[in-house]
Amino acid sequence: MTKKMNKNVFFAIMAVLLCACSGKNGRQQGTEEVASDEPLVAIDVKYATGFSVRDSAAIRLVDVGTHHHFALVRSDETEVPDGYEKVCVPIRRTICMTSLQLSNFTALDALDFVKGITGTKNLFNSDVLERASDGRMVKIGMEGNFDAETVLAANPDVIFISPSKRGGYDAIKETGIMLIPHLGYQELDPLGQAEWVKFIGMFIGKEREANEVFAGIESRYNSLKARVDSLKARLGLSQKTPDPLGEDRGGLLPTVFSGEMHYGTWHAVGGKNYLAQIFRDAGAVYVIDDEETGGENLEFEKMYALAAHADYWRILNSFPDDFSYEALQASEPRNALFKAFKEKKVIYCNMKQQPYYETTPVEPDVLLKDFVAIFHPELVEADYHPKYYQLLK
Amino acid sequence: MKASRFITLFVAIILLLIANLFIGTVRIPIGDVCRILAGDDSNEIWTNIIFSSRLPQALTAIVAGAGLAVSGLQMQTVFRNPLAGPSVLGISNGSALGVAFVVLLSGRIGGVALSRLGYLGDAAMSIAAIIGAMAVLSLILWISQKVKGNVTLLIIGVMIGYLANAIIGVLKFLSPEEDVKAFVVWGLGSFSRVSGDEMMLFVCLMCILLPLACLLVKPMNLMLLGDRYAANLGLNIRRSRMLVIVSSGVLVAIVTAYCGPIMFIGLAVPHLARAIFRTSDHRFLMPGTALCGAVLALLCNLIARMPGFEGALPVNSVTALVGAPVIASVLFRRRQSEE
Repeated sequence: MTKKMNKNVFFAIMAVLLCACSGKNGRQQGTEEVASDEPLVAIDVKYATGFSVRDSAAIRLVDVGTHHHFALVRSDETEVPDGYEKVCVPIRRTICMTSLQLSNFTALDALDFVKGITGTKNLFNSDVLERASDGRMVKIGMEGNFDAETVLAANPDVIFISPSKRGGYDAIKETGIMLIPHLGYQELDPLGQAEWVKFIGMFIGKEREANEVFAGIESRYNSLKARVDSLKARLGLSQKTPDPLGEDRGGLLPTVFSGEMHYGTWHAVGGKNYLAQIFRDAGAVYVIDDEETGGENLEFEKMYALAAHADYWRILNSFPDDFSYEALQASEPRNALFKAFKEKKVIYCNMKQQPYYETTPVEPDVLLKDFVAIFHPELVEADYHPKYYQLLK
Repeated sequence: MKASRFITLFVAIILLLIANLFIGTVRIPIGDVCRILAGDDSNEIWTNIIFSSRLPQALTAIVAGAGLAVSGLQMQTVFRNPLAGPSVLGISNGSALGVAFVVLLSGRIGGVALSRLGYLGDAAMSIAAIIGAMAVLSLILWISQKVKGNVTLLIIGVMIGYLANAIIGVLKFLSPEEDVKAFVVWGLGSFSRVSGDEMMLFVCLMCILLPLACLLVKPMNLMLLGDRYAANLGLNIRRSRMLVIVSSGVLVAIVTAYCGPIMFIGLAVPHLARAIFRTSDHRFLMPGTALCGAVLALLCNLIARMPGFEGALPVNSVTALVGAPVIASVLFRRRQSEE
């Protein structure tokens, strides 16, 4: 009896292993091919710097960063140029590693393609949560330590990855699943980050929808930015980015700084960061004017010297309750020294209450509008309700 | 002879304190610093930088450096082991475990109450660190009543440290990247975390605890003679050992709570003090170690905040980078002069 059972278990394991090993072939063959004579929907990349697209006949060549080159084809028989990895599109199944990637799928109403995510902690999207709870989306575990079995079981055609993070991708690569870097997080232009929706669109055959979604974002963002630019022109400032110590010495535009002190260090963002760009587009002067694109750790006195008299202070954090000036002061008594604190001009977003990272990558126009509503309220409609940021009460 | 060394160390502390007020990541002209120190507060920003940032940081460095050094000396004497330091009994690991619970588990276990503490950040972490350290300390004390030999106690202390580290490892593994980073940043140590009332509380606590520690110099001198000899001279070994461990443990717990785990000072400074004062008499060694600790901490704080470093240098790295060569050269010179 026991012997028989052991035998059964053995065969069951072998069957699973065989399925897993043959997974890749199965996927490739299983990919439904779209009529390859249909012309490609043009993808025009205007703002994003992390990927570029060239079409040649039935092949779409996509370069991601400098090291990754993919040839998107609609038939497995199509020959692709040297140095390019062949990807049969549209893909049917994928796994997302970041909320930025997930935001692209949500914007394209394409969550059906997403068969796995890293986890559901801090996620708000009820559709995603429902899919994760009923098993339509699996949780593959945190970065650096993926559950390879779950990944294989999800049977993705490709996995979109975020290579800056902790890694752990080698084990997945071993299984033969194609890994495609999504470099949206590196974009310094808010529209550039949003444009990655087109990147996802190309892989899932939703180029038209992606173009439409992005065109909407672009037009809303640029029309608001144009209103800010015309205000700058009225103030006698050129429309180019004002720098803190440059032409806006008269203080015509509000100044803003960002971040909080934690464990003895001020966590701010560099002068060329995505956020700094939104501040500038919203008609404010960001107090840090350097070439840094990522985060910066500053000593308190350095930040205080830069921002003591700044008009606004932007804070994004996860506070379990309603955040307040008292809580801000309790976390660091010196916070009360800033002018923005004294005048109660803290611009705040609570990630425990807003799906910030889940949706802002495809809503830079909303972010911009929230900031414009604070910096220059006359430029937005009087009854505008901010979605993410508002003045802390 | 010894008096002149004490005076030199005092002068060094005063000079380094002044240097700490004058030099920082923001350049403030010397004349302006003098005017601000004289009471001129016309430049609000610079006044705040000096009185709300540089002064608290320097005071924190002085008392933290002194506290850690004294704690290290106490451990080295109790265990008669030159490699003993404040972290040897797992007390700082206990602090780290307390902080790990707050930072890494906030919002997961314990619900809102814990996570709210977690955000209110530094105060909550201080409390967690003290609770963690005190828990380990109580455990050590309980064990010290049960076991006879110092070596057994030392080994058990080290084991408790490993155990705490193992739990921290599991917590880190289960936590999201940003929480782990926050915990790692805490672990780098910093003298700039404390400000305002909290800093005053910290300095006051240390001003009480350090003189209290000095009351133990007599039993510590007797301990140097060995347990049997000390017992023959009428010393209650268990009681004295317990008192010294409590004193040392509380000092480490408080410093770790406010500044994070600062590793090097407690282990190395007692050796520096022994080399400078050339004595093992704790009546001189104890205050000497405290002063040397303060000097080294001020020096490291100054270097970590030099213009150009932008506060990017963690105190823990600087204490070892600056302290190790200084202490090695002092010990080396002493050995040469002895030969």
